Amino acid sequence: MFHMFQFHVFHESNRDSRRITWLYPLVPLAAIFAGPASATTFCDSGENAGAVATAVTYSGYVYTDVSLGGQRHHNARVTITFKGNTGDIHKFKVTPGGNEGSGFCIDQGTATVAIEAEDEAVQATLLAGQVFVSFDTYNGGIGFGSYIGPSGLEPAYPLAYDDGTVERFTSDLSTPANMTGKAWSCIGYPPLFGTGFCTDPGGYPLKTNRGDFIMYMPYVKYALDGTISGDYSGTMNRGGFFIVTGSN
Amino acid sequence: MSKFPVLGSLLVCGLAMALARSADARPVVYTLNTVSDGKLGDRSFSEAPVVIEFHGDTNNVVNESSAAATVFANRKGYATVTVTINQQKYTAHFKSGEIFVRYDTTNGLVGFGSTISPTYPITLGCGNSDCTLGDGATSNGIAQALALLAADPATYGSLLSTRLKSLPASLSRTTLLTGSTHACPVPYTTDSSGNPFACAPPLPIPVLHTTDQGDFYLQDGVTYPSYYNGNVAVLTVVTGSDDD
Repeated sequence: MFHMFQFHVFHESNRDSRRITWLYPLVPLAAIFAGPASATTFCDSGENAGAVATAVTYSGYVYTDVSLGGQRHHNARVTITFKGNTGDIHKFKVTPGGNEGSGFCIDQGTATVAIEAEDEAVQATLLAGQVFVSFDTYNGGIGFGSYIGPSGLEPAYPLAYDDGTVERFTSDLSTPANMTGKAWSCIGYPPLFGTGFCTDPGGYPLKTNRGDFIMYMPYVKYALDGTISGDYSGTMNRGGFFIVTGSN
Repeated sequence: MSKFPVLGSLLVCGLAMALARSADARPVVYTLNTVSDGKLGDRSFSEAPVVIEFHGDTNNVVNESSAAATVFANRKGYATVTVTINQQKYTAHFKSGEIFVRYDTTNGLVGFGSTISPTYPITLGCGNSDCTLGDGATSNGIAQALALLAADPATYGSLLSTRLKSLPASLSRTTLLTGSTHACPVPYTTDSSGNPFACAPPLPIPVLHTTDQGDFYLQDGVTYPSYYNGNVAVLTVVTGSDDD
């Protein structure tokens, strides 16, 4: 039994080290992003993807701890929705530390969050210019990122996914799809590239029409040195991500 | 003095036990969210959002353990499945007794069982083709992590976050369980290494019966449904009181 556990610890670590991580942290952000008020954001700094323009809705869910307007909810169903137009999807490519992250993203649209706890359901609209949707085709990660955090660009906060059937997705964010994966709400993603941890999100609330919105990531696996165990294996939560076109 | 002191004591004891059971009884809803493949009535679906709900009472959680594993089940209640196909939601009500909730806490296997298989239509955390064993990797999800923690707290106690370790491995308390999905009415075929590879049931595919939408089955269409590139799922247990 002991050997089995040893094997799995090795196996999981090995899996995380055999690939570079997905997405694009530690980018020299000054070159691509100067804040939400900037004329050019990370997403529209790249070439337009050329998708036929049509309405598109991205939604993703996870059960986790959140805070909205100062009220905390435990293991609530949290659904983030972003409505935009496929004509605004852009390509991106970054090479932080010599490792590539590339794919598609869109930040022109409206994002909302719905929180369903045991006895209540609340919804809020995120103020414009904070959230984007991206898909790193190079490393396999998809979800909702934001222009917040210490670097001003967080690919896996408030909610993004890797592994699962995300790994099988090959489109450019313009075609309908349903997928499941490991759910991250991590400021400082990917941890292996950075400090080894996710930064406390309490210092970087997203602004909504109902006050500050904060997503936590309470279910984590650590490595033997106490850092988050990996960019794929570190989160123990799961969720789903959906793309629907023509339905705004 | 009573002429029937023993009988009186038994009645008092029985009444006390009944009251105690009533006090513990709480409504409970088990909800599993995933994406999967299969058929509902005459509608086939591929990689569609699927939600299975089971409404019951914690009083009906029973211990079905064997020498090999500790197993809890809740077989009394009503269950529904909702499949979203082309943005249309179709909800079907299972016939009474068609599916039940099952949690093998020893192997970290949790989901819905039926007469077809104790782990079908869907179970999380499986590690072999017929889902009799767990995956044995914490990366599979919370269900596996809690089982590994219970088996070896010295190893896993420091590897899992405090909030994760506080989640109950229970069908009677509010909790959150995650894992890779196993959704096949027969054992998966295996690859050369013996890992589950594909769900390929013989025809006709065994079905579960609903009262309003026809027959239902799940047939995982993703080959090699390992923990890192197959579908995953979330199963929530929500009881009628704030016991968490």
